[in-house]
Amino acid sequence: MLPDITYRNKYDEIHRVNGTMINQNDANAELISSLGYKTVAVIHDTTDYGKGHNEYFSKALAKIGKTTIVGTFGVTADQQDFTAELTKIKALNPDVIYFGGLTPIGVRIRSQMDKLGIKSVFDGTSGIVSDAYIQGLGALAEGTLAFREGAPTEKLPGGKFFMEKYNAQKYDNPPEAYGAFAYAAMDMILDTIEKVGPDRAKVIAALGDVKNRDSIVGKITFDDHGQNTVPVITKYVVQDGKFVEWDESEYASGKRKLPGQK
Amino acid sequence: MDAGLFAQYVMNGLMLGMMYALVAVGFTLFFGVLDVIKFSHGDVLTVGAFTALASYVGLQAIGVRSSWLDLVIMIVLSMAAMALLGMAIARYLVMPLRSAPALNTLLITLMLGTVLRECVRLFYPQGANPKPFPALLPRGSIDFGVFNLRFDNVLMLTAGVLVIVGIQYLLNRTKLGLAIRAVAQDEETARTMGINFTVIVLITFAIGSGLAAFAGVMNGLYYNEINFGIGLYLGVIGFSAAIIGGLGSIYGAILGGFLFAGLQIVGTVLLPFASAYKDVFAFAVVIALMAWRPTGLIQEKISERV
Repeated sequence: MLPDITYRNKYDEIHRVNGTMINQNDANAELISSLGYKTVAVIHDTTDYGKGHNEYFSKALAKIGKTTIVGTFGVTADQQDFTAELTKIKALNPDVIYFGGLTPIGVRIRSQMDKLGIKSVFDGTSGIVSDAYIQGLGALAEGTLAFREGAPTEKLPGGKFFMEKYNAQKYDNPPEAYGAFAYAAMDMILDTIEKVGPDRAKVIAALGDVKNRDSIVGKITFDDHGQNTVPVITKYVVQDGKFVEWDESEYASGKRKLPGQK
Repeated sequence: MDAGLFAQYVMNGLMLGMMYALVAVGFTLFFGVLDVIKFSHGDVLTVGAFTALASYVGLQAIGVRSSWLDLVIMIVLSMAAMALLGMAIARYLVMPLRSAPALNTLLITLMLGTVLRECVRLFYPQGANPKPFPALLPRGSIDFGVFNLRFDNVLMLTAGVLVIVGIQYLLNRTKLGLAIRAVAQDEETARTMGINFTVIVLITFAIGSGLAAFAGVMNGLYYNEINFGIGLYLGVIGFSAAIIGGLGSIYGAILGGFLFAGLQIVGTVLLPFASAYKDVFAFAVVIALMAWRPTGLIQEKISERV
């Protein structure tokens, strides 16, 4: 969801069906601030993905102005040991640890947080919205926050259709966060090719003109940079071993509390 | 920095150093006895860790509930299995290539390491994802301010120390150890003394690979997680640690392991918000050390007489 992919240059061939991380981090910063947390430590991986999340989250948080970032730590995408970074973080004692990165290191960081006795809230991005995160952590995953562009797969207009067909194929891996979007993108390409013929220039021209096209993820409209403007961000919290929408969770209603939640 | 924070760093360093040292000792043993760099050592560690995990799953399936029994059986099984694997590697891959340049053996074992790693990834169910490793050690801990002293860490450190002391004892005080050291010094003379060269080599590989399995289980217990890539990382570090310590010397390997862990921790402390570069720092220091002392910090006591 790096905005640079569609926004840094104007390439006619590039189009993207799912949203960018700017909106995601705006929603993230808003939730953290509204829950009354005062300090955040940021851990992010050093790929463009992690660095992008760090950048946009920091900006969004600074704009709201209620929460400060006490430390930012870059880690490599295949790092095994986080005890050194987490020891420093423990000394800084933040309310929240924000993590910009993917599931494998998300799982490691969360479990090593527990080993060092760190009780902050673990707040992640769409990179950790996956079954593998919950399987990797078991009970430790409880109370993790995460955000994702678009609605959960079941709530998408074509979500049930997608899930039915996907499960019927009995693949090894679940569709995770972006399976439905990948399907919508491929579907659109195939449809366009069928309509205008296998001619590169015609396909590019047709894709450049997409407005309110129906798909299983809802209506798609590409802006002048080929970016689909999907403003819906879903907030998740892990409850009882599943990613549950924040607004429907017991954390939002007050029946359960995140560490330090007021 | 307050005492609690410092103590926490020291503890982290000790745990890391212990694991690196165990891998480094393996490398040193193989080099000492056969003058070969067995680069698949790190991946043998991975296979050992996964064997332990698989045996845990099996034990759970047949209904064993005691953590201690689980732990003992897992360690025994994975060490035995890896000892066999190590012996097979020695017998069929390393020994036939003894007359070839050492570089060939290094490359072949490197490739074997990749094969092992990819086999784990492909054949273990969902092998590409990190797998949770059961927490079988007692979970209590005492808090000294920022420093969180966990009982399982203390247990693992003690176990690691015992294993290393055990290896030292084996090498220096037993007949088997004497035979291993003899073979390491001079193959031909050892043979003429009546030592069965092949058996000793196989036993050395078995010991080294068993150590790797033990390190793999410790790794799993410490991080509560294993994945198919741990061997690659630990292998590179273990190898560097063995080199800076001095290939062929067990003390050197241990020193190298703890030194490397210390460097990583120092790197994190010195570069507070760029701790992704701690490995850059640690390896840079290793390069400097090697330039200063190419044969390692603790020189091998035997020199090659041409």
